[in-house]
Amino acid sequence: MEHSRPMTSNCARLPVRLAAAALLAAALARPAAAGAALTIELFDRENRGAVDDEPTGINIADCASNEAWNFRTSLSSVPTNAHLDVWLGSACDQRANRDGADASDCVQVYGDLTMRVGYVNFMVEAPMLVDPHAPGCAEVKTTTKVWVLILNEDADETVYNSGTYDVSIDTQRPAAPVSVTVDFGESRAIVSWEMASSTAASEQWGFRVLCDPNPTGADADADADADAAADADEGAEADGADAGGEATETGGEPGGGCTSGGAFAAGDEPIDAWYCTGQIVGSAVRVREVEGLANGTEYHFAVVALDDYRNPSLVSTVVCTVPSEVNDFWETYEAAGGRAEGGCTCAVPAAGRLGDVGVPALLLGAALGRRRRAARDRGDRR
Amino acid sequence: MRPAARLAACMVLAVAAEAAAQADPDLLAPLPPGTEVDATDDAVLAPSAGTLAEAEYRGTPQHFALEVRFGPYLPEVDQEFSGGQTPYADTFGDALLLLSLLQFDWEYLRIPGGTLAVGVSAGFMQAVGTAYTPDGRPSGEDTVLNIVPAYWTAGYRFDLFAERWSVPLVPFFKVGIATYWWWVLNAAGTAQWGWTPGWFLSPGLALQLDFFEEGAARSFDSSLGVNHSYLTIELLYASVDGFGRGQSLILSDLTFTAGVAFEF
Repeated sequence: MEHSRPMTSNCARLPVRLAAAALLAAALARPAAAGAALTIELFDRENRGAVDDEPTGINIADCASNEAWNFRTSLSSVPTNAHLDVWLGSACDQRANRDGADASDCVQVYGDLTMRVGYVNFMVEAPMLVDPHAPGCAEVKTTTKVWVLILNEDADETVYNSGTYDVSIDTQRPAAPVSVTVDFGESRAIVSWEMASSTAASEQWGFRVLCDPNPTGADADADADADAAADADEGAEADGADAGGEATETGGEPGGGCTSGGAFAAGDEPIDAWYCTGQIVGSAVRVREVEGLANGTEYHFAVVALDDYRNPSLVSTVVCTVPSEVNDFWETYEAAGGRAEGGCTCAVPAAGRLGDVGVPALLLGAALGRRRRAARDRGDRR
Repeated sequence: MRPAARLAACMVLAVAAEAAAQADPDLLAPLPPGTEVDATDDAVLAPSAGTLAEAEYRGTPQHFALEVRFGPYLPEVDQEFSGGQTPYADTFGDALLLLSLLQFDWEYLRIPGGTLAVGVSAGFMQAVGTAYTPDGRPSGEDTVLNIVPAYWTAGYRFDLFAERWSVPLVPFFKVGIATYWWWVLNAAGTAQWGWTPGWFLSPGLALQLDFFEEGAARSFDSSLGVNHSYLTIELLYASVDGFGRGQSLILSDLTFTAGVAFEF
């Protein structure tokens, strides 16, 4: 049986299509309704292998190198009559905090970023994150909030959608170690120190030792000259803080057992060329042997503290020593005329002498064993 | 066998064992005072209290002894120099070292009055001093003399008093060969090592602790197999000089050690 189908013409469907198009246009023309909160992801940092490598915040080195922080946010749709901004500050989703009337207002980093479905990437340099109002590397310990705002293009720029990312920042130096002392050994020096009493153990991450001349081969002098002049003022401040230390501060002049000025002085900002040890992790570690030194040469030593953001302190007091040949007990013994020989060859008794002891011992053992067997035999017979 | 049947069998065995244990407790207890015993028959089943005590507890077999001792020690290294140079005292001072020893004995022969044993003991002591420059200035480096003494021991424990008259004192005497391994450390590592043979003798006295807490001693034996426990103190004369050949680091000393010992 064959069913007949109603006939519809293109003319009959046209009004329906027009009505649908009109409704869609009207809907797009209105401000968009807010969707789910935006997520911001930090996907790359210039100074880290991975974004979660310690320290996860911004430290002095990050700021000084203008480290780029690369963020991205994901959009599942692109609203019309809206634009995407990036702001830094507190409560930037409030219109009053974006008008620039107050000094504490939010700072706009990007305005009207191109929106597309998928990731929208943007970059903020560390100095901007450290101080959005006056980008730089001032000493602060704070958290900066990064805002991604999709703002409706209405009179009040109401927020269509937003997301935030917190960036922790510590560009404050820890206090320099105190009571720095040094003792000499043969081709080595033993440097010891104490943690500054003003430093909380939880914020103390480690230490590094500075040497001049640097036995690791770093060209300390070239960098030191430029740095010492720039940091003269800061050095003077640190001198006052470390007055309780045992060693005399050099301040670029001989002191602390030093007969000459060295590459660095107390209060200098440390540079990599001065470090002769790696990072000595742990606040409990207070001593370090520096090896590979030349006997008879005066060496200058200092220590810097590292906080939990790996920020180095200013250079501690500088102390000096001259490595020298020393005698261990064996050398002292031999120097005194001791005749003992070491190794396997020493003091093996002559066969006759060993026999003097060994043969009677063997005979005694054999006799006792025989007696024991006899006793056992008697027991068996019983 | 089905599980139900197995369970029933287990329950029967358990009840039977309990009933047997409670059937005649007098068999395992001393007789009341004044009880007359017919020596012809009941004596076999109901021995006297003293005999019963021995029957109740005879102790686990005893073959070995383990001893931990500590004592002061001052090696006579400077004796080699006959009062002239004193390299040991110059480096390490005259502070006594702590000698720690662990000894294991095989009590292999019981003879009248005591026990003959052979054994070995080893320990450790360490002297730490400041390394000096050739012109006598103290440096920041330490120098260390480590000594591992080992003793090959023949010993006799005179435990007749303890066994027969309940006197908790056991004199003993040990003699044997001593071998002291030593090595000198400096900041760079091992500077020198060697060994010095010698001999030693060591009389001592052990206080048997079993007498003070017999119950605990028996429990110690039944649970861990430890027959006797002692506090010991002994004199140690160690002539460790390479048998006088003059090419050895002299590590002799006359000292004492004290510790604890266990026979098992």
